[in-house]
Amino acid sequence: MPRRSRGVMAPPASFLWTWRIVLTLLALFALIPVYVMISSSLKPLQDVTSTFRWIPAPLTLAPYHDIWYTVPLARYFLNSLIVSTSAAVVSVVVAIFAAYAVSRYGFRGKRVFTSAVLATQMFPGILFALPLFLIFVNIGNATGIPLYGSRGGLIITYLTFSLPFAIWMLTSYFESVPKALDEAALVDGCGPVRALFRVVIPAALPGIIAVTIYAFMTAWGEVLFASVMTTNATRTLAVGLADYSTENNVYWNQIMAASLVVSVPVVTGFLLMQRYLVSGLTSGAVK
Amino acid sequence: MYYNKALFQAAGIASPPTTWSELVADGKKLTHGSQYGLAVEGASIPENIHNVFILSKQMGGSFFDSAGNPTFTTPQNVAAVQQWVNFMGTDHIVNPGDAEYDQNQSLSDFAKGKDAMIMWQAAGTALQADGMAKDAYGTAPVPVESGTPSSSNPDSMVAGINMAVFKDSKNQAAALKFVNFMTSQAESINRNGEYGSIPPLTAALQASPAANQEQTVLRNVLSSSAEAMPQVAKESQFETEVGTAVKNLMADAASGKPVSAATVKAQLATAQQSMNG
Amino acid sequence: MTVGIHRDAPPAGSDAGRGRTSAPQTRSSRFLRRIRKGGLPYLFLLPALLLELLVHFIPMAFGILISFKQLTLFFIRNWTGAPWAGWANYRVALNFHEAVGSALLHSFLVTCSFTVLAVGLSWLFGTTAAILTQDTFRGRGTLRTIFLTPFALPVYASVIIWSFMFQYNNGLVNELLHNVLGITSRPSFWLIGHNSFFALVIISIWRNWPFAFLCVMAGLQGIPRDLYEASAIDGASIWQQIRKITMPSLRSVNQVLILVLFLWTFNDFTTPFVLFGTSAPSPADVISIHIYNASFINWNFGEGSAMSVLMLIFLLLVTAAYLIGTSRRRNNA
Repeated sequence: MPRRSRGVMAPPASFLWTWRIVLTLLALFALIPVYVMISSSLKPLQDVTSTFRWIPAPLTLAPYHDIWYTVPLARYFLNSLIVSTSAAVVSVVVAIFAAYAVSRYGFRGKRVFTSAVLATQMFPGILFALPLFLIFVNIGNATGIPLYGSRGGLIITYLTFSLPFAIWMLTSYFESVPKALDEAALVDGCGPVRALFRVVIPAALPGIIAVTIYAFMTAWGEVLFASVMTTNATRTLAVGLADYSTENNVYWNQIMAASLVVSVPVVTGFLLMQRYLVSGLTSGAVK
Repeated sequence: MYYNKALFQAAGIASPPTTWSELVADGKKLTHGSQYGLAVEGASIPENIHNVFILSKQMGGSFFDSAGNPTFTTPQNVAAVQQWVNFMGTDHIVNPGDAEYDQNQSLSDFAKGKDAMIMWQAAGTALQADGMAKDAYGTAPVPVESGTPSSSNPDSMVAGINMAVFKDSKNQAAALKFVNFMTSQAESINRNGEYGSIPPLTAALQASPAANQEQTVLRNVLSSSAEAMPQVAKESQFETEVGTAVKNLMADAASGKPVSAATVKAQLATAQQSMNG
Repeated sequence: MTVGIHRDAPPAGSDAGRGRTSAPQTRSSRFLRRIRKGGLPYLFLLPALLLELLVHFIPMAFGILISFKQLTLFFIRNWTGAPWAGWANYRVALNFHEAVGSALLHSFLVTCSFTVLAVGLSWLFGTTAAILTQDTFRGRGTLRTIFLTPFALPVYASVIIWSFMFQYNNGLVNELLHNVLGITSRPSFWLIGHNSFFALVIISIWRNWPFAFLCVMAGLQGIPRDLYEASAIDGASIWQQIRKITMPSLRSVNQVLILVLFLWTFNDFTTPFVLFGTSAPSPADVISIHIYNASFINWNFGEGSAMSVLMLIFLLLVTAAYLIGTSRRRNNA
């Protein structure tokens, strides 16, 4: 029950009931699919392909074992890990320098640059998927560098969305670091680069970590480029989960188990850093 | 066509249907409670287009003319689509839920005995993997309008995956060698032993006899009454466009909307326009 | 309170700071210093610029180029050999009387209604939840975590779970609606037919409303308590407080939030792709899937590119109009 710290009036009883009902409904809405995922992952196959039942009976952990064999899940996991981490790290490192420039300096073309970065954020992936696909295929033919179907190529495509986002967010985090700190460092004889590493980055560290984690999360869940640019060897989890539907059966219990397993890293990461993410997003709006 | 021997016996049907009217009649006898006469992979584009193609051929229709131009809206094509969709829509021998299936759920429904008949390609291994006993199902040719199946009265289609070597390929010699290997006698016999697939070469076919009743039926159908899918450059687009149209019509039938000849013709007309676009 | 997205922020006033460095210099080192000073931001910007060029601008330019060619599957490896199509691809895409054009228009309208509905309801749910959890109470932290979980799950996992729940025969949704609650007389189709649109909307809301919740929650923290207390003393009801205090204070957050949600939802490819595969049912044929089909399924890259360019022009216009509209209101406020 909320303690109304404001107020002379206590809220009327009818409001309290509405409050309880609305929040309960929202919580159910959020939780039921998660419950379905967990409970279905513990059912044997015939239970999960017949009428839905709320409580799994019998309970079995077999799906958690089978998922690694039905489909090369470990390989997909590794691919996703490599690609997402690299994309996140590259984006953030490049964005740190760019954000430092934008937040600390005025220069000609700054407005154009920031507008362009903002604009590219709103472009749909499909706009880039086609041309990048063609470019990769043709570069591969002309020079022999394998970009299509390689992890490096996929990482490059992920930069299309993670780089502008990282620049946008980091600029707003850096701007919330008081310039007085920089200036103090510069007075002490630091060059701008050292000021960046000594002062700005440590001060904005929570934000930087948040952006890295968020970039990792978006890359982890990316489906469009992964479905176009990967082959069997480089397939990521996003596309690999579809492999659980085979010629004979759709292994729903394994799909649910696999979904749980692949969600754990990103859910933990997100819950840890969601506070910082939002502060960065809204600090540009509410100062 | 695969049929469930036990269900047929229970309904008092002595042998599988050979004409469509027999199939519908049998289907109605076999549809009661939660059991249905025919299983259909309603949301699968290949399954839809392949079956509609056969039905159209049986009526003497064609999706392309001799010059390779699309002719989707001919009366035979419209009738074929209607016939296919109406198994669910007006004959009610197909479970409406099948309209959603595109991951071989209809196959596993058949294996579990929920449906009595299914039209599929070489499903034996899959059915057994789903737990159906080898002697629980029988194989028969797909029905025809009337008469006996022959090359002018087809009851099946033949399609395949092409192998192509590009002009600017860097390893042309090796690629051609691979093509030769894949289409060789020895390899065909090998695959037949491994997967039960019918060898595409006559000599290989004679060298590897059919292993069971299912393969015998399939081979007979292939050699005597199967028709090839249209041999045009845009064949895959044709399958996608018309298959999607049929899938949409099947969805309409499943939700109880009437599927008239006019509706079908309109959808096929749109599909044909997309071919040219 | 400065309002607006960061790109309108005042230029960093760092000149004053830099001017104060060290002892008198010789002419050449002053010159070097000036170059470094002037060139430094560009140096910092260089990696980002190069990458942006590589992954955004060159592909976009290439995409625009392709839209003027007739690039089908026969020319993928040899795109220079594809014949020039002039404006043909655009004419086909915009000819609303013919199949391709009318399908594109239909897809566009579906996407617009999908976006409006999904963004509107996500915003509503998020704002409601944020306002209702504004004050502390026992269990607030747990409730917040519960609310955020859908957003934290990878999108494909969420969509897979929902597609399992939306099955006609064995799905939870039909089980609830038909068997348990008795709301519908027959089980309904959610993955095909008319309801597929609503299935898409529901999944989008489920995934996105926690984000709205998060943003509005952060925005609410900036509203001083005494405003509410003062108005309560004046006898304002809760509704009045929300309308007169909360909403206006949230305006800037809402502007960013709505824009971001709109773009994410309009451009969403993952949800329809994982839910419907490569052929979406007509009522739910959103534009990202539609263009994907035209390009990678029908192998007509020229046409697909033309459609992408049209989509891009639309998005640019909408965003520009939105930003101008909101900034003008801000200036007048």
